Amino acid sequence: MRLIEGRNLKVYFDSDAGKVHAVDNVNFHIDEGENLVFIGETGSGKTVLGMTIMRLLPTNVYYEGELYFKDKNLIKATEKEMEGLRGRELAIIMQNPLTALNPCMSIKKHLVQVLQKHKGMDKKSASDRAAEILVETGIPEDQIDYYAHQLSGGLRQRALIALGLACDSEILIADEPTKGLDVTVQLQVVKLLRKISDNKKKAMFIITHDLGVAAALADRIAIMYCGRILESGTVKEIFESPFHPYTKGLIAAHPSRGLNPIQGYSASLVNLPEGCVFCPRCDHATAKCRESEPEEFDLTETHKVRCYLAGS
Amino acid sequence: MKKLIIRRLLIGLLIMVVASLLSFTVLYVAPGNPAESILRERTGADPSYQDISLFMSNNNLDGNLFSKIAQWLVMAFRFDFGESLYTGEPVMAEFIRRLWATLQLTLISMGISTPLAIIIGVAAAAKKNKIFDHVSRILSLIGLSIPDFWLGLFLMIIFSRTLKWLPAFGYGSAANYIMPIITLCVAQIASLTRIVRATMLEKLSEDYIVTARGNGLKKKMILMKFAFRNSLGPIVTYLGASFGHLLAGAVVVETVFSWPGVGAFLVDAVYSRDYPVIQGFVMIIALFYVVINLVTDILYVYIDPRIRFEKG
Repeated sequence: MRLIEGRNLKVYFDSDAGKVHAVDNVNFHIDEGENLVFIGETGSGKTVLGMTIMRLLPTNVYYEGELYFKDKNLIKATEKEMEGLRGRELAIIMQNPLTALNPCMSIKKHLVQVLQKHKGMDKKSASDRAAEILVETGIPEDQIDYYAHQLSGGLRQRALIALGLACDSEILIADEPTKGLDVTVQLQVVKLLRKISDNKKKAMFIITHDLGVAAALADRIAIMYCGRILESGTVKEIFESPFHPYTKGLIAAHPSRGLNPIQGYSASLVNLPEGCVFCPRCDHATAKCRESEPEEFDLTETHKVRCYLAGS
Repeated sequence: MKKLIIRRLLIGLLIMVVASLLSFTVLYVAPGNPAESILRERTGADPSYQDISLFMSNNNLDGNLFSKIAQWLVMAFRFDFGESLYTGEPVMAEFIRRLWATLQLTLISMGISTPLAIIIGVAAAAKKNKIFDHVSRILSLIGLSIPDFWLGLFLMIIFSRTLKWLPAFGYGSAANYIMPIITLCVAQIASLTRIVRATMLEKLSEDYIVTARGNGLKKKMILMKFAFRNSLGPIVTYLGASFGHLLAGAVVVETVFSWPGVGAFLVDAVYSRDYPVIQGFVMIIALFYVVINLVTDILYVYIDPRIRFEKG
């Protein structure tokens, strides 16, 4: 069953510098139990997309297009309706575990509140259940009453994951779950997420710029650049037959492939180039690329790319 | 915790010693001689040199500076400042009577203004840029801009002269308290409201607020358990500091309403260089600050778990 589907989704912000098109004409979907990983540079719109699903963006945001959760258009949902969905059916693991947890509240209390609110549990059973979830996520039993600042970075991230799991939501959004962690701890966190997706058959929307994390967790991958999805496909398609010059560049830039960076810098979202957003950095750019933006081309049923190379 | 209190107490003691030495020396170094002004008042003529030195030796005002410091320290730590040079009465008895009158005003104003300011400040932050917020901001700006004495006189004209509801001045009955307390409360509510609003807005933009919203918690809960709970530290700090302001503000208000507090007493003492009174006052205010700071520090430990664990 299709859980999330975005059609021609646009998200933009009003700012002093002008309209910022953080997400532009994005089409994507997540099916039941499926892991979709969004890869992109900082500022490519991955987090905005995740926060759009949760509808947690600041008030200067505007939406166009459609974003369905089952048969509900989320961008038309009222704040009240969203309050009912958040935590219960849509859960998010925020970035920056240290600042994302209330410094004046123990990690168990965070979970207890959510369980009381969404599962209607009394204090005692919510507390028991919270302890259970925290231990399952790998927090030592004697540390479940700790505050965020007392935990190590890895345990903090686990606490945040536990909070995301508290209510057995159908969708779990994980925003850079391995950011700022030691490599060994990163591996543990990735394994934990893998276990969750295998055991609970949960659909996950994972945001990262780490290709390794993507390879370990994804069923499908979407490559984002300047608010657009330039290429999307199954893990195999993206890693074995990448099509878009940007995707190829990303893979070539990986240390294991010789660390060849893509030339230039990501364009400003306020002042995007004419035509294809990637053409100023693209070795294959033609006059056509500079004139108009390519539509999405289907390479296979699952592999889609926005590049004129595919059309010709 | 014990260590913290002991350390704070020792620092407090040091502050008291320094304060007492300062109050002692500054007055002796300052120009003007109490004997001269007191004798002039008594006799109506300029006193002779012999009269002055006789008065000074009778009142222990001459002699070696260091032996006087030692004498003074002993007195100061017994909180016995001798007799007023003017009235000849023991300083402390008069002082405690007057201090009680002042403290009544200060404490009652604090008790009324604090909860009101917190309610208004929290509500204004919750309704940022809505009508309630604008109105409360304009009112608090007005409240801050009105001088105490002007407001006191204004209230007097309305309630005592025009409406004849309240006595213009005096001490003793409940009606006497109303106008001085309103006068003190206005400025206190105005400034505290601004502090509460600003702190709340800062905390409302923290990551953990987004986490709480992402968990689908109720707005009221997010406001209180996340934003307000974390605002308590700055608010308590401000309250501690503003206690001193209130005491100082009370001096003006006391003068306006002929309130028999320490205010007028102290001003008179400064004019006539009535050393024992001034020194007693300085010591008591220093003691107040030390005690309030100690209380604030201990409260901190309960408010912020990060401090609790840092200091053991």
